[in-house]
Amino acid sequence: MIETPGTIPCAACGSLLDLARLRPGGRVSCGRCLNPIEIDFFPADSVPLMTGHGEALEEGTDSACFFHAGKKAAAACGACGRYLCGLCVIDFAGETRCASCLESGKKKGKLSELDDRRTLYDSMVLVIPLASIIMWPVMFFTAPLTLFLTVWYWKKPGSLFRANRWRFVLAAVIALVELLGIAWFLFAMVKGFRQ
Amino acid sequence: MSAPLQYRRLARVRGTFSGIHSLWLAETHLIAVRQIFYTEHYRRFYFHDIQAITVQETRTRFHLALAWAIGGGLFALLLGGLIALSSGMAGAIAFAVVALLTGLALLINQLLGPTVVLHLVTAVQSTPLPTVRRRRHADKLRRAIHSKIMLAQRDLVLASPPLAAVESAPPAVAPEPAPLQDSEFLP
Repeated sequence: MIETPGTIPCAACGSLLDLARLRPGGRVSCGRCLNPIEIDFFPADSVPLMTGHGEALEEGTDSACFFHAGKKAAAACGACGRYLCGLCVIDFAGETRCASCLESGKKKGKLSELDDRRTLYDSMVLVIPLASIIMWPVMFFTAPLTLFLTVWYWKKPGSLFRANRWRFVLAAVIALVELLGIAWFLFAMVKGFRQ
Repeated sequence: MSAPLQYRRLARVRGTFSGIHSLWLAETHLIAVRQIFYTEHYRRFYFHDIQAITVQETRTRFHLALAWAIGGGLFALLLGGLIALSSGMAGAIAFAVVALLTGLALLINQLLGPTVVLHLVTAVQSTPLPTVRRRRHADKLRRAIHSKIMLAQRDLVLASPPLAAVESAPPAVAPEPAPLQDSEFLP
C-alpha cells in the first residue's frame, strides 16, 4: 500500500498526518490521539524535486541534446554516449542514462534494477511433479510436461535473490523417476497381458 | 548484462493477507518484496531518495494478547466443563497443555516487544513496510540503513549551510513540539 506523498496515516487513529507539519523532528505525536511518532529526517528531505528543463543552446559554442536540438547538452548517456540536456538526463543507479537506453534495457531484460516483478518458474515447475504424486494418474502427462518446462524455462531469469537452480534439477529428477515408474508399470502390464 | 546485485536479507519472511513479504538490502537501495503465488513484486527505495523514516507504535500487541487470552480462556472453560463432567485424566492433561500453550503465546507476544508500523518516505511516496512489525525490527532496520542513507546523501549534507550560520540561526528543532490541532489535518 502506498500512501499519498508527504503524508502518513496515524497508526492509532488513522488520521492522515502531513509530514510538512511534523518538521520540528524528533519524537512528535498525533494531534488527535497523541500517539507518538518517531521521525528520522534525512538531507534529501530539504531538496526540491528536480525539474530540469535544459538550458537553451548557444549555437557555435555548445553541444546540442540528441533529443532536443534547441537544448544545451548537460551530460552524455553512459550506455550509448548520446548528449543529453537537463530534461533528458536520468540518474539511474548512480549512472547517467537516456530514456531510450533504459527502455531497451528493460525490454531485453538486461537491467535487473528495472525489474518490478519476476515469475518464479523454478518453484512453479517443482510443484507439478510433487502434486502429481498425490494425483498419480496424471503422471503420464505431468512428468513429460515437467521435463519440457524445465528445459524451456531454464534460462529465464528467476528470483533476484537466488542464483541457483536446484528446484529445476529436483523437478527434473522427480519427473525422470516418475517416467521410469510409468515405464515399469507399462512393462509390467504388457508382460502380464502376454502371460 | 549488468553484474548481479548482492542482496542481504534484512527482515525475515512474513506472510500477510496481501502476500508473503520480505526485505532485502543492497549497496545502493532497499528492496521490499511481495510474493503472490509464483510472482515476486519488487519495490526499490534508493538511499539517496529517502527523505524520512517514521515509526509509530500500534495496538496490535495488545489485540494479539487479547485474542490469545479470550481464545485460550474460552477453550479452557470448555475443557474445564468437560473435565468436570467426565473427571478423566486425559481431559486434565489437555487442559494443562492448552493453558501452557496460551501462556507461552502470551509470553512470547510480550517478549517480542511493542508492535510498530514503519514508513519509508520519499518525494513521491510514503510506503509502510509490512516486514517490520516490532520495535526491535524497526530499530535494527534504522541502524542498518541510517549510515548508508547519510553516505548516499553526503553531497546534500555538504551543500547545507555552514555550521556558523546554523548556530546563529534559530533552532530548527523545537524542544517540545505542540501536537497538531484537528484543523491541521488533511481532509
